[in-house]
Amino acid sequence: MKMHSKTTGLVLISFVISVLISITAAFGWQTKKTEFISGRVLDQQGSPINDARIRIQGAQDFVLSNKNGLFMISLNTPNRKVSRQYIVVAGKESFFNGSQVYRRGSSDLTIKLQRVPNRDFKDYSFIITSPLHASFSPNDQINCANCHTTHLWEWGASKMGKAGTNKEVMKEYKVFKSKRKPYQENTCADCHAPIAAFNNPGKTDFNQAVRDNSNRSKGIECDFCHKIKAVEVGNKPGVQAIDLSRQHFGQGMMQWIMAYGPYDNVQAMPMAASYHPLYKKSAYCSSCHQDAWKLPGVEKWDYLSVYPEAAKQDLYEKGRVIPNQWTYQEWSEWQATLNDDHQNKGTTCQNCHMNWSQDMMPYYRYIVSGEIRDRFGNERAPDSITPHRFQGATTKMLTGVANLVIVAEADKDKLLVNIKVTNVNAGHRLPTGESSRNLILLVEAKDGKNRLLKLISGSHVPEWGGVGNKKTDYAQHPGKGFARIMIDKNGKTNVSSWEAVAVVSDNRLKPKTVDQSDFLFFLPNNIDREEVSVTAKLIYRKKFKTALIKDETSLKEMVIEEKTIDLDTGGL
Amino acid sequence: MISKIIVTIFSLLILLGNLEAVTLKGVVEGGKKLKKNQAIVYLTGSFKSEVKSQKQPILDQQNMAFKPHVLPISIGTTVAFLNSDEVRHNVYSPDKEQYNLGSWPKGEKKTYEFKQKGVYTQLCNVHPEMESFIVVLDSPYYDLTDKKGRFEIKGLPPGNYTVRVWHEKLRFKKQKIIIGKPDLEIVINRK
Ligand code: HEC
Ligand code: HEC
Ligand code: HEC
Ligand code: HEC
Ligand code: HEC
Ligand SMILES: [Cu+2]
Repeated sequence: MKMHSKTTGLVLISFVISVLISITAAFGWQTKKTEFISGRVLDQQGSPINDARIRIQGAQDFVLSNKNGLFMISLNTPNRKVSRQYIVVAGKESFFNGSQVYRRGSSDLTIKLQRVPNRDFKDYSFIITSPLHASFSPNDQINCANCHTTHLWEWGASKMGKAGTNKEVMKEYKVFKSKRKPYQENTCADCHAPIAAFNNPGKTDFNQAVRDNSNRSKGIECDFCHKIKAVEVGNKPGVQAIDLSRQHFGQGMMQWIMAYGPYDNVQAMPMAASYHPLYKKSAYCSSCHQDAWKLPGVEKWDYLSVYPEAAKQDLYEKGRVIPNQWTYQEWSEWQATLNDDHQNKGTTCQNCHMNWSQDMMPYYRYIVSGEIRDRFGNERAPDSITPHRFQGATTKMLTGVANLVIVAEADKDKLLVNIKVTNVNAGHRLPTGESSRNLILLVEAKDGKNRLLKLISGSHVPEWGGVGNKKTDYAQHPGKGFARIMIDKNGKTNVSSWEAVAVVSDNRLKPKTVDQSDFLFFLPNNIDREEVSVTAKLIYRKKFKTALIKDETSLKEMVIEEKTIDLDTGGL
Repeated sequence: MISKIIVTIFSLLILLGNLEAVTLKGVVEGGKKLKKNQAIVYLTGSFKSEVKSQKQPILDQQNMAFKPHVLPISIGTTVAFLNSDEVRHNVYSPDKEQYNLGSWPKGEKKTYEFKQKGVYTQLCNVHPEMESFIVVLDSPYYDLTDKKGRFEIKGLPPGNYTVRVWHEKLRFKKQKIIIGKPDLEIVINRK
């Protein structure tokens, strides 16, 4: 009896198990055998590399190696084409990307990655990417333009691509050169001509740098940017904040190009590519988009009166430095105010300045063109490719950058107008960059016969909007100006940062913030309220009008937003 | 006999049509700018502003642009926001209650109900040059102009109205009209 019950028990259990198995099988849980590629990522010495990014060439998804260098990639993912062999690629910061071919059914894979040499070779001569340069010299093989043609077009049309020929910079440099104080470094080339300045920071003459035919650098070169290994975030200008990794392997036709980049899966002649996470970070751009000028000796300015929030940090070095390019800091202050789950948290300079725009359609899916594309190009998701247009304050970028809201209300013989200006789409102050950039708000109230109503109270456009009778002289017009104002030691305002001893005011709009102002107009009783309208206009200028000698073309005036509302409908 | 009946039916139909569904037609004189960006012609007046029965209108993002560029709706309408591009887009509006719908890839959809009258500028924080307008009206009577500036608003009950035009750049004169007789035609000029 005992025996019997035991067997029934066993039978029951095995029955239950088999039912369970068949259920799971029916639901497809165990039917397909999952197939994996497993392997290890090692360095040249055979030590494991952890956190390497491994993927099948061309795939969107990737895995990370563990602390023993081990990884496993499933082959049964949807969308993965079944084939007999796969190229498995791996990338890790400070190593060259590597790859191995995996044949189905073969044993574990070992991918060896080669370390990028620590040494930076000072005698390296940069590859100059100029379309003019494309001739049949051996050097030509390695001209980035030959293979990355689209990048060349984009970059070549940008101000960064033309940094060596910018007349505005040359004009300003001339003045700087004649007025430069002994305690001031000659830093212009550190950012504007970095190849020339790299081996001689703080001392390179900009004119000479861009005239020098031996390096023919007319811009901030592809080869320079893609050799940036590390950036020190702070007030050091350009090359002084940059570490490069200049390497040369091979010669002539067999020369390899060392390049850091955002991909872990580039494995193609002639690139010696190294995945580098820095390239997707704003810090990368901080090198040239953040710096300051030192004041002489113990001189200081009252930075807390203009930037009270700066008390927490010491960016102004206790008032001993004057901000020059400050865009990175503006961005970083904005980011610090956002919660981790905020929409805009982590939106980088690259996201906005190396992005798609409508006139570039259709998307391209390759980063190389021509024959090279057919042989070595990987089809990529458009989202992962970053157009190199570096558009700044251009018409396109300024469209919709600011928003205007007008609220108007008649109260007896007065018209109350409230104007809100919001920086909706710049990831830093609006305007940013050079201190001479400025934004002017003009406000107008009119009756049905197009006659202007008189302002009773409210602000006016400051003097730097232009004094005089020309149409473009806006000073004293109802409105407002947004700018960073600096003074020199004689009290002259609107000077360049290198001349300045203090910032006296800075009301440029922070990202997503709103500036509000009220205007009160006189509204005589005989005016038909139904016909009254209010117009607000935002004008962007590259220079202060008062700081110009004659040449008004460098104002580059642009109306970036204009709105009119009728009193009776309030905007509709 | 039969023909007589047909004629009466016909004339009755025409009469009925005339009585109930008056149509306002016209043209907005806006020149080239109207060819590029459409204007909205809408009526305000002393009617009960009920929601125009409308399917969920769609604002798509296609080839790096919002489609359509101008979308008029009545208060209370829910709009569906799509993305047909292979890059992520975002949708937000700096106007009124200032919403941000987030960023999403191709194929996904978000919705938003518009409860306030006004112009909502639509922006994408990934692509600064993308811009479009959802115009929320407290009127069920509106139309978008075609390339020649023409519009047609059907089904108007008799009454007094003001015809207004909204355009992102241009401004137009408003006009007072009386709907009573069938098929009024008007011309709207710039301010
Ligand atoms: C100001 C520095 C800078 C310059 C100049 C520059 N790049 Fe880049 N490049 C970058 C950064 C940063 C990225 C990564 C962007 C990202 O992925 O967010 C990048 C990415 C790339 C990529 C990866 C594919 C892609 O489009 O994202 C290629 C290829 C490339 N650059 C080639 C070039 C070529 C060729 C030139 C010259 C015509 C050039 N770069 C000039 C900074 C620069
Ligand atoms: C002979 C053709 C050729 C030339 C010349 C060339 N590249 Fe490349 N480059 C390629 C190919 C091929 C790829 C990989 C394409 C792919 O994977 O889709 C690539 C990829 C890259 C990447 C991406 C690397 C990564 O890991 O993110 C960068 C950056 C890059 N190139 C920069 C440059 C620069 C800078 C120059 C000039 C100094 C240059 N290339 C010259 C063919 C070339
Ligand atoms: C959210 C999008 C966004 C982000 C993030 C962003 N920018 Fe901008 N940027 C803009 C827009 C829009 C403009 C045009 C309006 C202006 O000049 O402020 C602009 C303008 C500029 C200009 C042009 C100034 C001039 O005078 O022509 C520079 C330089 C610049 N940005 C650099 C940067 C740098 C560096 C970063 C990262 C630290 C960055 N931007 C982050 C959107 C962005
Ligand atoms: C080696 C220095 C350097 C680095 C690194 C650098 N920039 Fe610049 N950038 C400059 C200089 C110099 C200019 C001004 C050139 C001129 O106007 O002649 C400039 C101009 C710009 C402009 C304005 C163009 C215009 O139309 O006004 C933008 C936008 C910009 N950079 C974005 C970036 C972004 C984004 C990065 C990081 C991916 C970056 N820069 C990295 C030096 C640099
Ligand atoms: C830290 C790097 C850096 C240094 C140092 C620097 N610049 Fe610039 N400069 C930039 C960047 C980035 C821009 C682009 C921002 C903008 O256009 O507003 C720029 C823009 C300019 C412009 C405006 C160009 C235009 O087209 O409107 C002038 C002029 C200029 N710089 C002159 C100089 C002079 C002269 C010096 C030396 C006294 C100098 N810069 C030092 C980074 C630098
Ligand atoms: Cu977009």
